[in-house]
Amino acid sequence: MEYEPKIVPEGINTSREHPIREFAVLVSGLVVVIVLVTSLLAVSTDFLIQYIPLEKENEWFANEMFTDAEVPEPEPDINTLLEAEVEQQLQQLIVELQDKEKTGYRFIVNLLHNEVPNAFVVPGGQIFVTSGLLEVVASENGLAMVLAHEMAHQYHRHPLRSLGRGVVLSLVLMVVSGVESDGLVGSFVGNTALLTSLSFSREQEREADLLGVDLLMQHYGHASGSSEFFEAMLEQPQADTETPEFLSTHPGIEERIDLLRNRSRQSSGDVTPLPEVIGRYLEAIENS
Amino acid sequence: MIDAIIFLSLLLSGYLFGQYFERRHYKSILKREKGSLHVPLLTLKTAPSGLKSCDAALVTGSVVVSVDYFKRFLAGLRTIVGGRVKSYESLVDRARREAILRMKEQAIDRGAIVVTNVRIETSSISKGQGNAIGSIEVLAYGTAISPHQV
Repeated sequence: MEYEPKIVPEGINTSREHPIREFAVLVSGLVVVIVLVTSLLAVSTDFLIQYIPLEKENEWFANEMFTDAEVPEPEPDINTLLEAEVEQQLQQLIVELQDKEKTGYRFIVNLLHNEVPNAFVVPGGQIFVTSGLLEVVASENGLAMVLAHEMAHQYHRHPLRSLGRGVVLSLVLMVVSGVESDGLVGSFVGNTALLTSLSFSREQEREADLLGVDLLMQHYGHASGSSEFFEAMLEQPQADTETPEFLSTHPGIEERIDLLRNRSRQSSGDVTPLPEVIGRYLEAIENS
Repeated sequence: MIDAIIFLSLLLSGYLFGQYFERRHYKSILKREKGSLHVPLLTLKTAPSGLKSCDAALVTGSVVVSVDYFKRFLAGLRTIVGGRVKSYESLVDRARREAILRMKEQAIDRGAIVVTNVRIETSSISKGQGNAIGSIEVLAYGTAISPHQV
């Protein structure tokens, strides 16, 4: 038998498919599946949460978070007294803003000593307002809009919905990342799911803006001053208008200002000045 | 945001470098394979009859290759949906052929006319280390048979 040298043809042990093509097919397919699964999970938790009675929610979250009780203060100084007074004013404002037809909702307001202007609400209806926020609003209406926005979140039961969604999604992601040992793909799946769930968060913010401005108009009869907070946020040096919306938990500030300005144009009126105790409080923390 | 940019640039550089080196490597493999065709490789354990009174020596060729970021990500996606891990196939193919070529070049240097009992072994260098670099070693070895020098 004579040996005849021959070249073995290519493509037996390898594929001719272009790697970019394979990449595109795999990534787009997975993204579609992850978005669908995440949305399905988010929508179904959202649906189920409405069957949790409000009384149960208030019972579970009866203990207030971050109360001053955890930080014992030997004797109340002028600041803590002022702080209590401001909290009382905010609580009063909330009572006035409340939707009288929606009963069973509990609202507790807490002042946080923090320069960053912010406000948020946690399950059970506890609303936090930072001292930084009091500094950037110019009128009671502007402050009331922020409170009304947080109250609207609770009327829609957003805090509990977000909590439920977070728990369900992180459970599923934990299962996925437990099975999937490659950290690279695990974080790809996780981030895609996270970005998907952000769209639900933005939707909640829009809902809260809409209902919030309704509450504001019910109380004052007009929507003037409602965009004060967001306008102040735009002027902040650290204002973040660069981040694209799909990466953010909140809709773009400009979009929110537009909505509120539209409302104010339709019905405007005189704004109420801020309660004078807030001015005294801000001055006191400035000096200390 | 920063994470996404880092991830995408790693993916892109992995792709560009990986593809560049792979293309260059295949070009060299094809050229050298063509140039060394005259020495047959056999998997027979014994030398063909008629070559009994020749010189015999062990020749080996070993290669360690690493996967690039892009290939690794692609293979990771495959672990979810299943199917051929095409991105690794070309990598292993290159390593195997390169190892055989190195072995063969060693045999040709010795003046061999045939290499018998050719075996190929593969081992994973980062075995069991989770996220460590995915590298493999391919070792090819055989018996180079050269005619007696008179």
